[in-house]
Amino acid sequence: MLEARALRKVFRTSVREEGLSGFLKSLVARRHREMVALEALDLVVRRGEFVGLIGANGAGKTTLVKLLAGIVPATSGEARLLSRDSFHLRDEEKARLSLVMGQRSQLWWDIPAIDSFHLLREIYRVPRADFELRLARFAERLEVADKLEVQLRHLSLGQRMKMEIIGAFLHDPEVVFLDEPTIGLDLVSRETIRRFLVEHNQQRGATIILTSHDIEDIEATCKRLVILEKGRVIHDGDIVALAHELTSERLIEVHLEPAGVEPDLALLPLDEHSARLVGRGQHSLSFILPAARSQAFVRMLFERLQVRDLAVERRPLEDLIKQIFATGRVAGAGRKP
Amino acid sequence: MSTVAFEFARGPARLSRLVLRAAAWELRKVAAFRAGFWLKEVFRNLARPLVMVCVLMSASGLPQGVAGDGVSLQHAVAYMVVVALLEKLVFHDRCLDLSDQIFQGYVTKYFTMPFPYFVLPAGRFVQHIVLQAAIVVPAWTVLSLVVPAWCPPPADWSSAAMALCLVLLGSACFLLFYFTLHALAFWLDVVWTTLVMARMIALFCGGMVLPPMFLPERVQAAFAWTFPWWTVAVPVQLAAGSSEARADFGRGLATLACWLAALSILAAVVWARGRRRYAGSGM
Repeated sequence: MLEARALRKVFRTSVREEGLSGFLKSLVARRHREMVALEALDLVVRRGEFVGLIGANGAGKTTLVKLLAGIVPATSGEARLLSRDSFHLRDEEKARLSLVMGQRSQLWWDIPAIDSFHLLREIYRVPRADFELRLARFAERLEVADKLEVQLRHLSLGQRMKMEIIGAFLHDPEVVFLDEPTIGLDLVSRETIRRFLVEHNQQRGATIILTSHDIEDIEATCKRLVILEKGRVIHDGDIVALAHELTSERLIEVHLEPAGVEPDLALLPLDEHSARLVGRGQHSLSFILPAARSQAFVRMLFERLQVRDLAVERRPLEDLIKQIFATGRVAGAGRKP
Repeated sequence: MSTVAFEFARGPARLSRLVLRAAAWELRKVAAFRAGFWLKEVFRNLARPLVMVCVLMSASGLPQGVAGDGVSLQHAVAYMVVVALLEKLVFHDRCLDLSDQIFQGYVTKYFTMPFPYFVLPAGRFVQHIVLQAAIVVPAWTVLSLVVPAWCPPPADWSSAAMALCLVLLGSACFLLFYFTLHALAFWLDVVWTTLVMARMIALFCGGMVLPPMFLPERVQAAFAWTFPWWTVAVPVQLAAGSSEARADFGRGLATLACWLAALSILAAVVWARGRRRYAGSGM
C-alpha cells in the first residue's frame, strides 16, 4: 500500500545574515544551506494498518507524510503509494487517498462547510446517494449535524476540525494521512475524533497514518508506532507489545511530609527491588520498578519514609518513548531498523 | 495546466461540470458578505475611470480642447465610461489569492486531489464573467437610456458581439497572465508588488488609463502587439461602431489567440516547475 525505500529529502534554504552588510551581501551572492529532513528511511505500511508517527519537532514526520502523499518530490530513494511513485500519482490513485492537516484548514472560512462538501463531491465523483448517506452518518457521529450550514468562521476549532474530517472521508478513501488533527482541541472533541477514526479503520479497512504530539491520540487509535528522530526511523513496532512492556513496570510517586526529615536516599534498598529513581521534587520522589515488586516496595517506603501521599500508576507511554529517544530501543517491544 | 487540456480531451463533460461547480462555490464565497460584495464586485474598477472623467472635465476648460487635436470632451468621457463598463468583465489580479495560498500552505491539500488545480481559477473566471455581465448589462442599458451622450449604447448587435468576443478572449489572457504571476510565489517572498506593477502596465497598454486618441500613433502601434490593447481599447471602439476597429477584428482575434496559446504554455511551465519546488510550508 505504502512504501518508502532509502528515502532521502534535503531542503535547500537561504541563509539570511545579520546586519546591513549581510543584507547587501545577500543581494549579490546569497548563501544556501542544505537541511537533511529524511535520511535513508525505509518504511512499509500494509493495507488496513493504523500507524502512529511520532517524533520530536524537526524529526521528519511531516516531511515523510508530504513525500508519501505526493506533495513534494524525494531528493533520492523511493516513495510509493498504491504501487506508483508518490509524486506522480494519477487521478485514479489520488481519488483513493485523503489528507487532513491540523494546522491548515481546507474548507473556506466564509461559507458553510456544506458548500465545500458539494465541491468535494464533484472533485471525487462521489455518487449523490453515497454522498448524502455518508454526510448524514459522519455528521451524526461527529456531532455536527446542525452545524453544516453555519459559516465555518462561526464554528469552534473542534467543530471546524470535525468538518475537515468529514470532508476528508466523504469519498471513502483507502489511504488517509492525518497531520496533527487534534492539535488545540478540547478533550471531548479529541475523543470523538479518535473514536471516529478507529471505527472507520475497523469498518472500512482504511489505511491510516497519523502524526501527533499527543501520545494519548496514538495510544487510543494506533496499532503500530513508528518513531522518527533526525530523519530516521529509530523504532517501528506493534503498540500492543509496547503496552505490554509498560504493564510490566509501575511508576510510583511519593509525596513526603513537608515538615518531615529530609530522606537519605542512599539508605533506600532500590537495587533490592530493581527500582530506580526517575524524578525528585521538593517533597516528592518518583520511582520506576517491575510491577511484581511494587507491593513490597510500597511497604518499604511507608516503613522508611514519612509518606503523606502515594500513587501507583502504569508507566506512561511518554516515558517509554523518551527512553526510545535516548537509547533507540525497547527490549522485546519493537525493532530499531 | 497541460493536464487541463488532457483532462478536457478525456472528459469534457466532467471537467465542465467541475468548473461550473467551482464557479458556484466561488460565487458563494464572493457573496458571503454583503458589504464586501458591493465594494469588491459591483463598485470595483469604477474609481479610476471616474477620476479620469473628472480630469478630462477639468482639462476641457483648456483653449485647445481636451487633447491637442481637439478631441471633444464628450468623446473622451464616453470612451472612459465604456472602458469602465467593459473593464468590469476583465479578470483582475485580486480575483485570485493563489500566491497567499502558496505562501501559507493552503494550496497543499489540492495537490492530493484528483483534478487539475487550474479548475479552481477557471471556475473563478466563469463566476467573474457571469456576475460582472449581470452587473454591466443592466448598468449599460440604464446609463445609455438616461445619459446617451456620455454613455452611448453599442452601435449595433454585431458590433456588440464582436466587442464582447474580444473582451472575453482578452479576459482569459488576463486570467493566465495573473495566474502565472501569482505562481511566482513558489520562488519569490513577495508577489504583490509584481502584480501591482504588471497591472499598471496592462492598464496603460489597454487604454484604460489614457484614451488611445491621446496617444501618439507609434505608441498605439506598439500597444497593438499586446493583449490588453485588444481586450479593452479596441472593443470600446468596436462598440462605438468604428469601421477601422471592425476591419481590425480579425487581427484582434489572431493576436489574442496567439497570446492565449503563449500564456497557456508559460503558465503550464511555471506551474510545473513551481510544483517541483514547493515545500509544503505551514503543514
